[in-house]
Amino acid sequence: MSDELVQILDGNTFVVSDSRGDISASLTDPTGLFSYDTRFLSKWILTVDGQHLNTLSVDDLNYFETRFFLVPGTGTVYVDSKLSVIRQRAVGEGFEEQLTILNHDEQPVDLHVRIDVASDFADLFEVKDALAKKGSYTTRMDNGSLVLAYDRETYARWTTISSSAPVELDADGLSFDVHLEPHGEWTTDLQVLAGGLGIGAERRGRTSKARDLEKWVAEAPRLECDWEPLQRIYHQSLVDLAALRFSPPIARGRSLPAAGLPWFMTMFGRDSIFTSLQALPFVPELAWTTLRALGEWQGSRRDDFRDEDPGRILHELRYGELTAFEERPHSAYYGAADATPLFVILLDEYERWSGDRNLVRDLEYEARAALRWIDEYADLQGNGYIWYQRRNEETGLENQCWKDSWDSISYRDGRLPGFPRATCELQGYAYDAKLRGARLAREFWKDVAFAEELEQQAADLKRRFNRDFWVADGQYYALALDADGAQVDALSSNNGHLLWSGIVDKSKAKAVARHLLGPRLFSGWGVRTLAEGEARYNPIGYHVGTVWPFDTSFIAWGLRKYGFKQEAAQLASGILEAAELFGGRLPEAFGGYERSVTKYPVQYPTACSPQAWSTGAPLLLLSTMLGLEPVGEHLVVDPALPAGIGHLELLDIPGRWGRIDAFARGRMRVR
Amino acid sequence: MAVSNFDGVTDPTTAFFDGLRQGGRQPALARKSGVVRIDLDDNGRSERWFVAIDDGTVEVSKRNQAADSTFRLDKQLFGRIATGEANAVTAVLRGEASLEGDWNLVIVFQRLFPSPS
Repeated sequence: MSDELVQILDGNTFVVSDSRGDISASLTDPTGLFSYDTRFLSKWILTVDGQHLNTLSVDDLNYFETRFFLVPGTGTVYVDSKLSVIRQRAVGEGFEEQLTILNHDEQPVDLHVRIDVASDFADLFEVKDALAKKGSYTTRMDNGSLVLAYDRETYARWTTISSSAPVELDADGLSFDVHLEPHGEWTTDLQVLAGGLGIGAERRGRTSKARDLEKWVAEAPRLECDWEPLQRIYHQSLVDLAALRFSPPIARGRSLPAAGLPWFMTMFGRDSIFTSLQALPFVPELAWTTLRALGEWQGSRRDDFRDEDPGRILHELRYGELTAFEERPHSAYYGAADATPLFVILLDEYERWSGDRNLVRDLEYEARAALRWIDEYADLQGNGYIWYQRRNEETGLENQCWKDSWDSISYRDGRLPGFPRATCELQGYAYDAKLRGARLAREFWKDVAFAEELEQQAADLKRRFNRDFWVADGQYYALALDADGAQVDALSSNNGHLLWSGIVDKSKAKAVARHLLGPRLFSGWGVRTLAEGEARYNPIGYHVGTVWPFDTSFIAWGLRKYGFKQEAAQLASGILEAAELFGGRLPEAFGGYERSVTKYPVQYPTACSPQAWSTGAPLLLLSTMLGLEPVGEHLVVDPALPAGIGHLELLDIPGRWGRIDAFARGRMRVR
Repeated sequence: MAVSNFDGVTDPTTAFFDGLRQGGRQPALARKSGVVRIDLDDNGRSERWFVAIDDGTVEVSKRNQAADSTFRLDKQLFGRIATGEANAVTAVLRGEASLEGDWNLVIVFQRLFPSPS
């Protein structure tokens, strides 16, 4: 099997194979055909006369379509075949594969073509955690199709495989006896359908998908820039966002961003909100759908298994077997402490760009419930901060902030605090949500008293926060407070999110900015999640030293908000140059090594790619460099470009103003 | 009016719909509208309820009308969902309940079910 994996996707259906187009998955291996968090094919192996094939080339035609050029194996380094094999595959409700064999010989040839198939119907969580199945498998022939099925009580999933050319079916696959005349050609259309979903989203056919992608790119603003890689990065971001869109049954045919391939092709509160914020000036539709969908799924009950509270915005929604049998809580799971204030922030930001008053009115109940959650359910210590502590001790999430790995929240000396925890960025989001909620209350809900109450709460929160979280001897904000109210005093990138939220006292902003661009946090590419010198710092530790492009993009936005234009431009330039070296597509995270040491950014070993909020990072950095800011009915443009970009134009930016152009000339010298 | 079975215990389904009838305006359903049809199988006998939602007001009826979404399941199971003992979403994922039409309406309708006991 070759190392290079080939993936095509459409929303939450995707196929991951090797470069021959074969799938040969073990339980723990994320290859196969997946749909709605379930693997529908774990084996799909093509042989000709019993031989595996060799890859000549793989064409990525589109994010949802690919073509493999193959020849029968020869066992030597020389390929001198009289046969060519072409597999062209596109994702749909499963996938379609056109298999073509060409005979280049003067002689006719008879071939035995075989595709071995199997499905383990694994829940994605089982693949991730290597768990065993509880149901039973059957195989049957049905109307000329091979049906692989899995049943557990009333739960049923099946895969139907059929061929347009005459085929002989058995329980383990498909066989074809192929006769090819000299220079002859044989072809069959294979169809693999994922069935039994009961939750099927609207699917688009292949041609409409291609048209839809063209339209998606065409409707986004056009970018002109003298730094050529930026054009490519921008295009890649738009295409990857298109690929990651999916239309959950409740999205009314509109789409929202799934979080990332392969583990996170589903709705995540936090990821969908951050990505929608990044993409607002480019594809505002994502924000609309995200707000609608998250609003509809908003928590309404007190449910310990799901860590659900009234008003809480969901963390993650899954459709697989473990979720169905409540062996996992994702139906939906609510264990995020940031998604709820971020929901209010997105609603306000979306209105500022779009002028869509209707959505603000439609979601008044949900936005108020979200604001109420902050005070009534999140303040576990009763001292006016957002705290988190899971109630589902078995399968709930320990860390309910974006840095959700077990060791992400630590003191300088490496100790981990107990629970509950109040991480600093949560307080920033709460502050911002209250102020933005106040604007919505005053302007759209005509509730001045509520607006004033929120503003007063926000002012009070800011005062207390700047007192309780400020690490005086380090001149930055603590990562968190522990249950005793003591500072969890490590220096982290979370400081940048605080700038974005506006909770930072003006007098402290300069010190914070200095840290973010200083040698302990800034790697030269981006901002490390945890500062060099902290006990748990590790340049390839998931949330304790790697650079997350999404994180740095919000930090750049935060720096702009406090007037640090040049610093923001410097971060933009670092991340965009890393994007160039990653071929235009930023991974979820990369190593926090000093730029001058490695020269190239080092990809984090198991990072998801493409990942929605990494895909959104170049977009947010673009609007940050241009200094785009809606003010009333207008879009203010206040550019600050890094060295290396002489001019930058973003044309036809959609918003309440219709379409508008932004121009920038480089004046700044950054390095 | 609550309907009791032979043991004098109120049937939870009827109790749920009676509660809705008497509960007045449902703020959680503000600016939501549509008709949810609930088809229940009571040991082979079918029972059909309609809940018309209009900006927070709910009207419960057994009278046939056009529905935007249909939720179909065993009456026992619905009773457990209506008392917070079982979950509607996982019932659909398991294939014990089916959902046709407008999903968002039923997701929002779930707000009327109580917290798990």
